Amino acid sequence: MSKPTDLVQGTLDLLILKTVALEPMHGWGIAQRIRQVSKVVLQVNQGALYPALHRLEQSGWIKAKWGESDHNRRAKFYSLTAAGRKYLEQEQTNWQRLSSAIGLVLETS
Amino acid sequence: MRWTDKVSLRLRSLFRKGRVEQELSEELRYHLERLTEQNLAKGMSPRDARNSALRELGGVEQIKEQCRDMRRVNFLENLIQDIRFGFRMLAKNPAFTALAVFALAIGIAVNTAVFTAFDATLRPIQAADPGRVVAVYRFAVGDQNGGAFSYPDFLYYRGHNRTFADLFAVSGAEVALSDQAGANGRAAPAGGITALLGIRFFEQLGGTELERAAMISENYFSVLGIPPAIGRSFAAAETAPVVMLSYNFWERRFRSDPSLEGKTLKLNGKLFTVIGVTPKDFIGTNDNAPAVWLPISAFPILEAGRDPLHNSNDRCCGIYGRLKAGISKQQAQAEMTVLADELRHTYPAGSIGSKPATISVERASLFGAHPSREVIMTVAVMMSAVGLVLLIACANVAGLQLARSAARRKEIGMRLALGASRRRLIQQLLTEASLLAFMAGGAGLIASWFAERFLERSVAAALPPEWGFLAINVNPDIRIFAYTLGVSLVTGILFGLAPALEATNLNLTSAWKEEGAGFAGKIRAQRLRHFFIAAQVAICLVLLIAAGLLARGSARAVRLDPGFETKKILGLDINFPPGQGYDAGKRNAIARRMVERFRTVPGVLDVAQGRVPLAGGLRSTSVILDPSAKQSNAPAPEFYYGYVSPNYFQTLSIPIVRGRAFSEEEARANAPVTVISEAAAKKLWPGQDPIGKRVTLDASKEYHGSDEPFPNSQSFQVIGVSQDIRSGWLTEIDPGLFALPLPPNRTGDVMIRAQNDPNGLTEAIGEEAKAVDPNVFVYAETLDGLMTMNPGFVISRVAAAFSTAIGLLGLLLAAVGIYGMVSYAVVQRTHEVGVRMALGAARRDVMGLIIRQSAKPVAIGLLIGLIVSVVVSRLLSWLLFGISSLDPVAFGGVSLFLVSVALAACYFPARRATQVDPMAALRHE
Repeated sequence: MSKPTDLVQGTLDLLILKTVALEPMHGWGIAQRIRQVSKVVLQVNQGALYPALHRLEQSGWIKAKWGESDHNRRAKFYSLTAAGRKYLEQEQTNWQRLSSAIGLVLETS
Repeated sequence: MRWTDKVSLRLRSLFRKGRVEQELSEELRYHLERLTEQNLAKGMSPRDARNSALRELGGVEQIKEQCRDMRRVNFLENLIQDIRFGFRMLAKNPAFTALAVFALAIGIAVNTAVFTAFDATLRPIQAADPGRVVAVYRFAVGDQNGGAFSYPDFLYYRGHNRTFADLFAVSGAEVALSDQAGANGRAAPAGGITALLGIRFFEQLGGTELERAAMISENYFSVLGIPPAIGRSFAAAETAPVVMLSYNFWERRFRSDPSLEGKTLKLNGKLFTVIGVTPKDFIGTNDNAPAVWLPISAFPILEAGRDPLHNSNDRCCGIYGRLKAGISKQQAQAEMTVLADELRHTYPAGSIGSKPATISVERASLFGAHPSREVIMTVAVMMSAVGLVLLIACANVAGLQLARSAARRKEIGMRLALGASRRRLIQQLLTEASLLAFMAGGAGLIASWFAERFLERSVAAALPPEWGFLAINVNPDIRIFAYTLGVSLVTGILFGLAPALEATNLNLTSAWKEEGAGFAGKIRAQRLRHFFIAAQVAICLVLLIAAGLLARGSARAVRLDPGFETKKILGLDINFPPGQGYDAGKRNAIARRMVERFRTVPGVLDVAQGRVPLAGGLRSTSVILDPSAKQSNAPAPEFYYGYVSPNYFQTLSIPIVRGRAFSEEEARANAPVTVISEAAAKKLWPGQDPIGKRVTLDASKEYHGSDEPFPNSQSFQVIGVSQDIRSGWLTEIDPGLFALPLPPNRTGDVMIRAQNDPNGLTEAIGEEAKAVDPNVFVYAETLDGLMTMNPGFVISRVAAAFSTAIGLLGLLLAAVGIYGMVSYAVVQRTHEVGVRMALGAARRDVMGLIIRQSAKPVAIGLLIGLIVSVVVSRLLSWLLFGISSLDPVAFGGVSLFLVSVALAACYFPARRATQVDPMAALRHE
C-alpha cells in the first residue's frame, strides 16, 4: 500500500468537514469536490477517505444518511452535526493561525 | 451529537453487524462504480476502466478492515471472534491442546498447592480485625523459658496497662478423657498417606484417651471476637468446671452429637460440663486445633497441687492482646516495658523474675515473633522449586506453540495477505494462548483443590490425637483463585508472545514460497529451545536420582538388621494421667501388676523392661575409668546408658558375646554390675578383655527426667559384652551402650515377646491394662513399626516420595518438551528431508539425522545433571542406610530410564519425517 495521503497529516479531516459543511455529500462526491476546489492540487487518496469518514462519524462530527444520488442510485450522504460545526470552526481558526505563522517565518527569514 | 447517539451508533455496529457490513460494501461499490464510469468516459475499455478503478481505490478488504477499526467496537467483536476461532483451532488439534493444558495445569496446580499451604501457615491468626491482635514476649538474660509469664503477672499487666483494649493468657495441657457422656468410641484410624509411605504411629490401648487441651483466660474468645459455633463461650468467672470442645474434636469423637451441650465429660477423672463448641477449624493462637478448651482456672482441678493462678513462679502462660484503636505496637511495647520493670521489684532479689527484661510486642502469628530461618528457607526452596516446574511447563508449551506455529505459517501468511494486520494476528494468537492458559488454570485449580483435600484428610487422620487436629483451611479462597488466574495469564502471555512474534515476522511472499524465517533468527531460537531442553533434563535427572537413592535407602532400612528381634516384639509405653497422685511408688506398683498380667496372656512368651529400642529417650553419662585421676583436663568420654531387666537381652534376642547377662538376684540386690556393648568395649579397652573392669558412671550433669534414676558417680563392674545394635538411630550402630540392672523399685518401658504376630495381642493387652487401672493409657507398637517411625526413615521415605513425584512430573514435562522440539525441527526441515530423500537418502539416514540433532541437548542436560547429582547425593548420604552415595543402580538406572524416555519422545516425530513424500516436499517450491 502507498502512503495514505499526500496531504499534511491531519488535514484530511478538516477538508472533509469543510466539504460536507456546505451540503450533505457522499464519499465519491467529497473526493471529487476536494479535487475540483483545490484545482487538482490536492489528491485525496481514495482508500484513506472511507476510514476517515467512519472515524469522523464515530466521533460525532458528521452523521450519515442514505439517499438518492444524482444518478438515481442509493448512496450514503454525510452531513455536518452541530458538534462538528463547532469543531470545524475551531480547527479552521487553528489552521489559519498555523499557516499564517508558517508564512511569516518563510517570508521574514 | 449527544453521547446517547454515540452509544446507539456503537451498539448498532455491534449488534446489527450484518447491516452495517452490507452498508459498507454498498458504499464502496458505489464509489467503484462512479470511478469506473469516469474511466470509461476517458475512453478506456470496460475491463481497463474497472481494473484502473480498483487500483486507484486500493484493496477493498483492507479499507473495510480499517473502517471496522474506526468503529472502535472492533476490539470486543474481534475478541469474541478470536475466542470462537481459538476454540475451533484448539479442538482441531486435540493432542496439542491436551498436552499443553496438561503441562500447564501441572505447573499451576503445584504452584497453587504450595501457595495455599504457605498461606495457610503464615496467615495472621483467626480473629476479628487480626491486625490489632499482638503477642507479648518477655526476654531476660539467662532466662531459659523466654517469652512466658506467670498468671499473677498477667493479671498485673492486664489491670495496669492503658494501651490494650484487653489482654488474654494462653497455656496448654494434655488431658485424659475417660468414657463418659455417651461417647461411642474413637473413629478407626484411616490408612491414608502415611500408610502409603509405610509410616505408622502409635496405637492407643485401654479405655482412656489422651487429648490436647488449650488452657486460656476466660476472655479469650471475646477479645479475639470469635463467637462459638454452638452454645456459649466462657464467662468472666465460671463457678462450676466447664469445658468447650473444638468443632473438629466434637465432629470426630462425638460424631457431631447436638445433645452434647450441657452434658458432662470426665477429664483427668473430674467432671466438666460442656458449654459450647468453637467454630470449625478454629485454631486460635495454637498451631493446631486442640480437642478441648479449658479456662486456666481449671488447672487446680485437672492437676492436683498445681495452681498457676496464685503462683508467680509458675510461668505457665503466653500473653496476647488487642491494641486500642490508634495505639501502635511501639507505644504498647513502651508501656509494657515500664510495667515489667515495676513487676520485677516484687520478686526476691537474685531470682529469675527480678532480672531486667525487655518486652517485645509483635504481630500475632502461628510462627511467633519471626518465622525461623528454617521456615523461611523451606518456603523459599519450595517456592522456587515449584516456580521452576511452572517455568519448565511454560518453556514446554512455548516449544509446542513454536512447533505448531511453524505448521501454521501458511495460514498466517494467507491471513496477512487477506488484509489482517500484524497487530490483529498477534492479538489472535495471544487470545489462543490465553485460552489455553485459562483452561489449564481451571484444571490446575481443581486438581490442587483435590490434592490438598486428600493430603489434609490423610495427614489429619494419621496424626496421633494428642497432637491436636490439623486445621489448615485448604478451601480455595478468592486470593488463591486470583493468584492462579494471574499465573495462568502471565503464562499465557509469556508462552504466547514469542511464537506470535515469530510467526507474524515473515513477509508475505516468503511465507508462500519457503519455510523458515531469517537464518540467524532460526539459530537463536534453536539455541534457546536446546537450552530449555538441557535444563529440563538436568533438573529432572537430579530429582530422579535423589528419589532413586532415597527409595533404595529406605527400602534397605526396612530390611536392615538392627541387631535385635523386631517382628515379634511389642513395645509398650505406659502413661499415667498427670496430677492425680500417681507418684513413683504407685506407678511402679501398677506397672508391676500389669507386667504380671501380661505374662499370663496366651501367646506371650516373655515380658522384659528397659528402654524400647528406636523409641528415643537415650540418656548419656560420662564414663570415668580411673576415679583417682580426677583432675585430668581431658573431658571423660560419654556413652549411652539404660536400666534393663535381667531378661532384656534374651527377650530381644541380643546375643551376649562375652561374659553373661545379669541374674535375677543381681537385679533384686541392685548389684553394681553392667553389660556393655562391643563398641563401648572396643573404645574403652581396645585389644583387652573388658570382663571384670571397673568404671565409674556419672550422669549428674547430663539430661534426665525429673524422677528418673541415674548413675551418680557410681562404680560398676563389667560382667558381659553384648553384640552391637542400632537402637538410637537406625542409620548407625550405637556408639557405645552401658546396660545397668533395673532397680527393684523402678519400672521401665515394657517389651512383650510374642509367640507369633504381636499385632494380634494388642487387644488382649489393652484389656489387661484397663483391668489394672482404667485411667492409665498404654501405647503399643511393634519394634518393626518403630523402625518406620525413626526420623531417618520417615525423612528418607517422605523425601523419596516428594522427589519421585516432582521428578516424574518433571520427566513428563521434559518428554513433552522434547517431543515438541523434535516435531518442530521435523516440520521446519520437511523440504530438506524431501531433497535428501529425492537424492537417495534412506529412511534410516533421515531418522538418524533428526535424532542425532535432537539428542545433543539431551546429552548435555544428562551430563550436567549427573555432575549436580554427585554433589546432591553426598548431602543425602546420612539417609542412605549404608548405600553408596554413588550407587550405580540409582545413577545408571535413572539415567537409562531418562534416556529411553527422551529417545521415545524423539522417535515418534522423527518417524514422521521419514514418511515425507519427496515429491510432495519438493512441490513446496
